[in-house]
Amino acid sequence: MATPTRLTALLSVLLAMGLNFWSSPQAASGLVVLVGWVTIGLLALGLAIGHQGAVAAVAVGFILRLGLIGAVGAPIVPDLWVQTALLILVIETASISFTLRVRPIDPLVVMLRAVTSALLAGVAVEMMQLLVSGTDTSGLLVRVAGVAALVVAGGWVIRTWRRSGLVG
Amino acid sequence: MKVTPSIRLRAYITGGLVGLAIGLAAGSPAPVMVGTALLVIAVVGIAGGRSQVVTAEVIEWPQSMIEGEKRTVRIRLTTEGRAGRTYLDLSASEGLVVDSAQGCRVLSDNRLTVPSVDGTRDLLLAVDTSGWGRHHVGPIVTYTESPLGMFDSRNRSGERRSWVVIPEETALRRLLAPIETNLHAGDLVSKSRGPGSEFADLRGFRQGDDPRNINWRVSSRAEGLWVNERHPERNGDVLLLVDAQLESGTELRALVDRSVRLAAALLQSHARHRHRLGLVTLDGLCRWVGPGTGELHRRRLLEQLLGVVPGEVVWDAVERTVVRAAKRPSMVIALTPLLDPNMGGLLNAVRRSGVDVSVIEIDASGELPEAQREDRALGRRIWRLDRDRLRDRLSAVGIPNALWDPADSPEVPLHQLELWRMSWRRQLG
Repeated sequence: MATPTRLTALLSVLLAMGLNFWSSPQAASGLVVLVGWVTIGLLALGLAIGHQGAVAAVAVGFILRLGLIGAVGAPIVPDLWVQTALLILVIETASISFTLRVRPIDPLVVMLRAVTSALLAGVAVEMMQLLVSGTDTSGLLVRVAGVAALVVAGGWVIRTWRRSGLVG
Repeated sequence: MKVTPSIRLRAYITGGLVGLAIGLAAGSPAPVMVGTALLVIAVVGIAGGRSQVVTAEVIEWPQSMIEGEKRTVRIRLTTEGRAGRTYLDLSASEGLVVDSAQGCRVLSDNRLTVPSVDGTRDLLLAVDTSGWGRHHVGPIVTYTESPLGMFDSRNRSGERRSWVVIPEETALRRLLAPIETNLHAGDLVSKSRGPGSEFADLRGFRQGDDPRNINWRVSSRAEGLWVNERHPERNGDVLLLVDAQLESGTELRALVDRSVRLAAALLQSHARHRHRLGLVTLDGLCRWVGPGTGELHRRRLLEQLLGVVPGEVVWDAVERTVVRAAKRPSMVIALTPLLDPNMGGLLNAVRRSGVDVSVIEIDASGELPEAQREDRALGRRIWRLDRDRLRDRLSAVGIPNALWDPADSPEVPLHQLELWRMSWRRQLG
């Protein structure tokens, strides 16, 4: 593994750890913290052995963690847009690390793209927060749509996992 | 040729769907918002377009080049539509470096990046090489990203284009001249008699002699007619025997490198004197090219010489092959570190067949690690004595040998060999 590959992998894990530390409020249950660490462990393992499914796993893990924080009623700290931006940076740096194993990339272009994506996603989340503030999300229809979405998402996750493989 | 969704696109879609599902199932808006943001990025990326396949081909490359020289390689990129950022992996040989480029940017490890390709685009690369031998570029692997980096395409195209890199030319002013000459016109004075400019002797006129050869001054003072006999100018056959053997586990590649560099210098210098040149290389194989002249022949010799891959030769039939290749009136110059005990036997066999053999010994002592322990120092001393004995044995059968120290010019051992030959002739009277 070349040095840039290692560096981007390390940066990705450090960003994930930073997100986990920063967004673990005192009120959060041990399960939230555990999910965070398991996600980081999966990311690190995937980067070490070269399994590209780790990138999707980190996205799923942190969103699951966010769902758990909401379920236990703990406050979301830091702001959601910051967490989104950090999550995007984790995904981007991890995918850069995997891409570097198989082909050359222009570091300036990919880093610029990562930062832009993170900022755009952060702005989108902030705007959505303004739009949905005060909306009731506990209705039956929402739950039914949620279960349907869960089935679709589960199918997609299985498909992604099957198509992922070792890189490099 | 393969177009695949990128790792990040898969991650965004997976994260986005899971976010929607968890958020809706748990009635929590936060995962839904994060998931939606991820899906928005994925959708924008997909809408940005898929990647085009780019084909790369080397259309201009040098036929040969001298080590350290910069030459141009032209690569043509073609695509059916407009392709986004493209990365090229040249699959170049070790030692070949892209120094600068026009139409693209050079990344590390001979990899290039082009911002976009629209139809056809030519890239001009200034390449530099370190080390002699055969160098190549291609087949080139192109990686093209879609405009927003959500799809990757990979294409391996073009053929491998290779060329020979000749060691930096060393002009040798002093060369070892062949003692025997062949029948081709050249610069050497032959020992035989025939039409030429060098006076050899006088003899009585015989029927059929050219009247222009009558020496009137002598004929006027003696009885009958006397004619001048002359030595014709001929050239010689020079056969280089390059020992590129490398025992596995040793790091003595520098010896092979020096042998090859000296052989290349000798080939080029002897070619200027119009000698017929031949070459036998002993690397993993025993390969030979018989004596010949001309630019094409010289190129063949250089290609064989620079294509040596250091290794251990299988000695079965080597002696027979070399003796067959080195026929009289060839002069054989062996470039060898004399590390293989079989080499002494081979040289002896060639000499016994009546061929003039000289040995330039590539000094290996500088490449060996210093003997720290007493037993190793003793072993090294015995090894040196053994080598001295081998040199003496070679000298005793009429094979002059000279040790070439890396600090000296290559002309030094050639001069030593010439001196040895002169003293040998004197001894023989």
